[in-house]
Amino acid sequence: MSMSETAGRVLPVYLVADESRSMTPVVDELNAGLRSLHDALLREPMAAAKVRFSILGFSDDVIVHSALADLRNMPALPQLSVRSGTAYGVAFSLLLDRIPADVRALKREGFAVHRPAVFFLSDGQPTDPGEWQRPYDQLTDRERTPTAPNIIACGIGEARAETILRVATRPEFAFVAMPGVEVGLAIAEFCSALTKSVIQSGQAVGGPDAELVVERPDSFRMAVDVV
Amino acid sequence: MPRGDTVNGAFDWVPPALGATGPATPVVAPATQPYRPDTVIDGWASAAFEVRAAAVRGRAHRAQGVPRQDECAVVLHADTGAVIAVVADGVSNAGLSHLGATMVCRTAVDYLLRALDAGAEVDWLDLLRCAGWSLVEYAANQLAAVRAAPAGAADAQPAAAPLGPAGAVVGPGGAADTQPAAAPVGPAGAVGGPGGGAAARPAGVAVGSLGPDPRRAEQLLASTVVVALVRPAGPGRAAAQLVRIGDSAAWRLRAGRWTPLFAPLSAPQDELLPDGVAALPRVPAAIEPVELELDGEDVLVLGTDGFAEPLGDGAGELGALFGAGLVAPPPMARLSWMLDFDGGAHDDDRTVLAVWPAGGDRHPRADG
Repeated sequence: MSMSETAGRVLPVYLVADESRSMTPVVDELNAGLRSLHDALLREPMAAAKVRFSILGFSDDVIVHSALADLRNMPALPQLSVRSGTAYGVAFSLLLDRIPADVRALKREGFAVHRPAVFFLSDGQPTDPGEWQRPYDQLTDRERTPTAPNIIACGIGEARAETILRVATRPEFAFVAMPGVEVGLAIAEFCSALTKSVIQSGQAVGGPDAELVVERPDSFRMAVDVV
Repeated sequence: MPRGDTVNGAFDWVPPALGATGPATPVVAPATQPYRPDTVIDGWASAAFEVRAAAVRGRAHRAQGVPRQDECAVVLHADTGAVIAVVADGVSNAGLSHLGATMVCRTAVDYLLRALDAGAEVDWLDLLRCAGWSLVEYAANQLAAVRAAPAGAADAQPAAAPLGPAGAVVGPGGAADTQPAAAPVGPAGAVGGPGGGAAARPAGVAVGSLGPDPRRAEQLLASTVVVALVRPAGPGRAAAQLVRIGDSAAWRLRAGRWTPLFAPLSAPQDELLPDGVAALPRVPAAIEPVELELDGEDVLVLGTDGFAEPLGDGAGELGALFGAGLVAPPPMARLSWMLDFDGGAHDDDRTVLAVWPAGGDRHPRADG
């Protein structure tokens, strides 16, 4: 890379999807959602260039379906399947393992790296209660894990709101399907949110040590009314 | 030197290609009112200075039909011979931030012209507060009917959103619903579907009915800024003062070497990019201007991050292109041509504003 210090900015995105048995009725919807995500990114190659996409399926263990993939180079996204339980802990442990290493690898390639985003989807309560919190807490503690991701959590089916809130790194990053909403629709919305987020990996406002101007300064004069 | 300059002795207007270039992309008309051109070019000469400026829409915004969010202004204060130079970069998640960038530039210019007229010391913090407040009043007076702006605007979570993607998902539904525990948010509302876009907060019901709402102004109009006041200090010499909010930048360019005038926002050893960009209408509690003396060998350069990021430490191709191209004031079209560089993943809007003290012992033009 001769032209500059960085090869540009990338956002590592991790889709962490529940592959427990109970997902059977909706796994097709989820795969369809991933296909439309892929299609959308292929239509926006410049957006796709700024994302590295990992797909992890968890059950009693975790399967890495794709790792730091540049979606422009993939003919098709891997398909999720269903297996057995819903052990949240294995998923968070794997993320704890991979994310710091992934960020290091991207930086070695010359990229400046945005804080990773994890999209967590589950339709059930964890089958490892009391165990998953330890890897989760380490993963999300920015002191211990400087590359700690933002986690956006979506619960469908049997997943309870309080669990999804515990998983999301901010309360407003938690989404739970409303009772009576068709689960397929909820998944479609989740995938659409994922697509939109991935495509719009732009700047966000908000920096440290600054306050909103809340009063009109005495010296203020409107320079122009219309720009 | 980068590819693209002369072909068979004739000038080739294909933009300079730096590093790995991106795919050819369409240039889509920006969906905005009022009218906003893709590129602005400016320049003039006074007794004490010569200036050039260009702001060019990046390839990403061209492809997406998003207006240029960068803005610049460079104005002469006739009585003192001082130059007022401003660059601003509307924050991309604030949907009308291109208007914010323009408001900020005009307010900063107006403020400094008045201060120079009055012969007063510049109160830099007050200037920034006024520039911030211009966004608040503009949102209240002109944008009262705008509920949530197109696309990205709804995503802006002031001070909250760590970065675009997360913010985007949080979206309006998430913002409106601050008690998810008690009332689980339905995904349809949560992800900014058609109905979600307007739900960020109860927006104005009629034009002019809104009071000042700094948070809403931030959601719609947030913008970074660099302001420079450059006064003549004898033949070929000048004294400059600069302040900034956010990730726009400034340099002293001397003999092809780029010296940044502001401290870097992140250290090389940092694992990740900062979680958000500081922007007006947020201002710090205190600010000290950067002060420097320029002589006839120096060029003062202001730029937005669309230029600063690929420039890096200035030792690469872009630093060489502009280092040579700005030795002396280039023809105006040449600056915009250089600035339209194809930098692959570097596809953001980009702005460069350069100020040369006149009358110095400068090298001949480097046009060729």
